[in-house]
Amino acid sequence: MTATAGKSRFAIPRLLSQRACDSLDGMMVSGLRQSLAGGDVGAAIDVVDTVPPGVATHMAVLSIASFPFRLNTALHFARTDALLAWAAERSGIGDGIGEGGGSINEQQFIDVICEIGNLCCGSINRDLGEFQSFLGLSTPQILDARCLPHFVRDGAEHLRHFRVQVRPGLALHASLCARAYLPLDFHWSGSPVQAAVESGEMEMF
Amino acid sequence: MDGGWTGMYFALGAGFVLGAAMATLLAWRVARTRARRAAAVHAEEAGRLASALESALRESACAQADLDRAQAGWNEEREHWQGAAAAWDAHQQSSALQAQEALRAQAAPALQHIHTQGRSLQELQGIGKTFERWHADMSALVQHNRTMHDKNDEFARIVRQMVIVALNASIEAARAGAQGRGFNVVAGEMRELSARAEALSREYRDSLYANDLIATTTFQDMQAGGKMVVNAAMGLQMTNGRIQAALEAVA
Repeated sequence: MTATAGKSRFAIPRLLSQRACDSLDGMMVSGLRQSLAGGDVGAAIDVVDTVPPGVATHMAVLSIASFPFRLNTALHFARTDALLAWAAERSGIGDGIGEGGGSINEQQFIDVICEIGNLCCGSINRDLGEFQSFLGLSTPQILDARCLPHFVRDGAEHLRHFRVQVRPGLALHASLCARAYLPLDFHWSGSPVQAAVESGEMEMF
Repeated sequence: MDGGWTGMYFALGAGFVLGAAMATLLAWRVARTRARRAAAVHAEEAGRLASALESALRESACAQADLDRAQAGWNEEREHWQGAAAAWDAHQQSSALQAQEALRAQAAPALQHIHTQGRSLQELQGIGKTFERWHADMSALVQHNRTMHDKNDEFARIVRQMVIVALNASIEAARAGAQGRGFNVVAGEMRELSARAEALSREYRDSLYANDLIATTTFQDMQAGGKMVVNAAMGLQMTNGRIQAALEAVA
């Protein structure tokens, strides 16, 4: 599935090659796996057409910048009991089974969401380091979910949405948005650690 | 008769003895001749060998003389090259000293420049202060947008109220019959204005969300770009430090 954005709407020549887009998608999946699924290669992470309306009220946005391109990632979330409980467990606050996810407060909840965003983008940043010497990662910002459609209007060349089954009864959506300012072509075949895990070389650990 | 046979036997014995003596003498003479010939051959061989030995000794003496001359020449060459090597060493030491002096002379200003560059790179790290300023500005902008969201929400509530009021007015105008016809026109206008105001409010809210995203992603781009610059500056500063150390070792 190709989820390139703005292709028909804008007459902008493509600067990101298809394999660069595919590589970015692979890095995003790897980042989501590490940040949300604890590196579990069996975790269900699917590319989806859209983020279904109503599944999120907000999104944590982070950016990775380099000279020839910039990436925006968004982790969509809502304060559901399932997510609050998971966040409470993850942060070690409460047992995660109480109403509203134990005793996790608003700031702690946002901190968990931002930490996930940081881990995911940190992983992408490392993977991009194979191809770009100079990269920078922003701090996360929380925006209303209704900002999402404007990623496309912002001149994004590649927009892809993902659905992560974090655990039974809890799924999260994420988006990756890329815009290049110079022709960009690279191929990423997966992180060495991930490849080792997938091939079974690291099962002993 | 017996004396004749005896004499004959004596004569035959004497003849046999004489023959044997003659044969022995002949054999001795043949052997002596062969021995003399062999002695002559050996003497001739010995003479040739003596001559060869003499010749070899002469050649050996010549070779020894050549070797002695070569040894003397080699000794002379060796002394010559030892002298040349000593001169070369002295020249090299002198050149090295001169080169070191020249290097020091060049390193001093280079070191000065590299110190200046190091200070500039150190100052460049202070760009973080600029990012903090941008972050404060961005937070103010987002806060401003939030206020505008609140005002727009309030505006949307008013518009919704206006729609209800306009609808009620239309109903009341319809009840009034012919007398309410003029009022119905006004109510209709009010409904249309309310609908336009509602659409405008939606568009405005949409623009505010676009503003939120543009402001946030632009700020994040600047922030990430700034970190990229700071990281690059840190890398350059490390390189600068190594160059400084190398130059200080020379100067």
